[in-house]
Amino acid sequence: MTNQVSASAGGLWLHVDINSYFATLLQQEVPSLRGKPIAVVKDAGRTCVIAASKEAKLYGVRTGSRLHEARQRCPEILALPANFSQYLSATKQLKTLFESLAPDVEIFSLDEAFIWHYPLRRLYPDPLVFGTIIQNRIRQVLGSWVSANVGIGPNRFLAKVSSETSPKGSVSLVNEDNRDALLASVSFADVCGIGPRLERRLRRIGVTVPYQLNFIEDVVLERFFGPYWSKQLRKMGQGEEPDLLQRIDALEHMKSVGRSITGYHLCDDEAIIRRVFYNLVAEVIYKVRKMNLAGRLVSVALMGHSGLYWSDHVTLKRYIRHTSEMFDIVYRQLYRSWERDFPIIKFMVRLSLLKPWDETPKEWFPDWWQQEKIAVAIDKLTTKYGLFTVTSGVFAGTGKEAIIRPEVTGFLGDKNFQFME
Amino acid sequence: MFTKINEKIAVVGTYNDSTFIPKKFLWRDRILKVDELTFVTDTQDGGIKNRIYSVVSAGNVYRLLFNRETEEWLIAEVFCD
Repeated sequence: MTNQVSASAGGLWLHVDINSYFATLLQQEVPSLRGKPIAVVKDAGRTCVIAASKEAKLYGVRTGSRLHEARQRCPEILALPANFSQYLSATKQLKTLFESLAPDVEIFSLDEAFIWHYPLRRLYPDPLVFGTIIQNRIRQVLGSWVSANVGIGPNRFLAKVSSETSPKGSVSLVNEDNRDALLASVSFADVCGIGPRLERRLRRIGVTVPYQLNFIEDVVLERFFGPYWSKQLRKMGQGEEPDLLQRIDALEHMKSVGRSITGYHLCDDEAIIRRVFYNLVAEVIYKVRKMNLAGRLVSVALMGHSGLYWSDHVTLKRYIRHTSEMFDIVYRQLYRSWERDFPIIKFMVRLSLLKPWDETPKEWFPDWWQQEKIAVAIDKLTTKYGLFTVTSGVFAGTGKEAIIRPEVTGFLGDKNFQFME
Repeated sequence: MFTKINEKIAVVGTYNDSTFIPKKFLWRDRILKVDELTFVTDTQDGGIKNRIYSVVSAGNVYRLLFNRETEEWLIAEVFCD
């Protein structure tokens, strides 16, 4: 609220976006890769490009490209596995850096942050100079190869659009004079919150840039996009901040924790399917317990080849926070009640409707409290020796490599967990 | 791509503003001089905290892992083109 009041008085937001984060950090670490086109894949043998270096992007290689397409566009491209520990460590270093420079910082994703300039207006009267200082400090902390875009605007939306559409390594400012020109030139692909489906629907009514929305009446927008998106699109057209950018880190606690994994090949083996479910559930519960939460909506989804998909969920009357409870629901209650008719390539599990455990009704059954005692003992061992030090017999006979370890995602959906002290 | 080695090494370095900078390491009876420190990664699994120093020595990039609990050094990985 303070920020909104100050924004009307001339406050500015800075959006810091590290250029080609995953690939840039790898190039910083390995100097021989600098200046070369690189495709980062999730692991050796994977075929989906999850990040491309600045050099690869010049050939049209994008996040989400298939490796064979990337090689067609750029035969000399190097495919290298991601290092999620490195990305998370670098993000934590960036968080420390930004918080040393400004009192109000929001980490938006692994490689993006918003910084509120208003409290610094006397120290750094020129926000462009402050933007350059941030870029220099990032190089000092992470290395000379790491460059960042800094977009500055009266709200987070315009600051982000500006940084994402400016040349690599630049500092750019949006003001009254250039705001409409920016909104009339930026493609919806570069606008936060607009996915490919919404972009296609906008194109169907002839809208390709946000500024065009100003020439469409409210009733028409609502007819095509419904009550929520019509309002959000109207705000974007006028250069105002849509709801999805408003203080996402202000949540008191996470509302849901999920985990998914895509296999190397289609899986038809029931023992492996059971093990993967247990593995994913154990990670979800580990995070839920560490944040001292409990949840009562359990969902599961599976994908096969060519878009084959199955999902199910159950909303419980009680809150759960034990691996055995959630695994029983995911595997025995939901999965086993389905007659599987396709092999699986992707597994997803989620525990939602989370609430602080202290605020949930307590269980009466002695068995549950017995399970809780065991879980507390495992928590202690996990805290000291690491996740999966003590785990289920479903992993018996498999090597350590069979265990799916936690990893971060680019959008850092579990930031509340990752930034826990 | 990085290739795993996981062999014990000894490392000497200097402290600069309370930050350790590796300068040389002893691996398989050879002393390798660190030409450049390119990255530092902190990892944690439970109470086990590791710090990985990515260093360039004679044109090769190595990941030197320091277990902050046991204070042991490993040469974790080497980058092979």
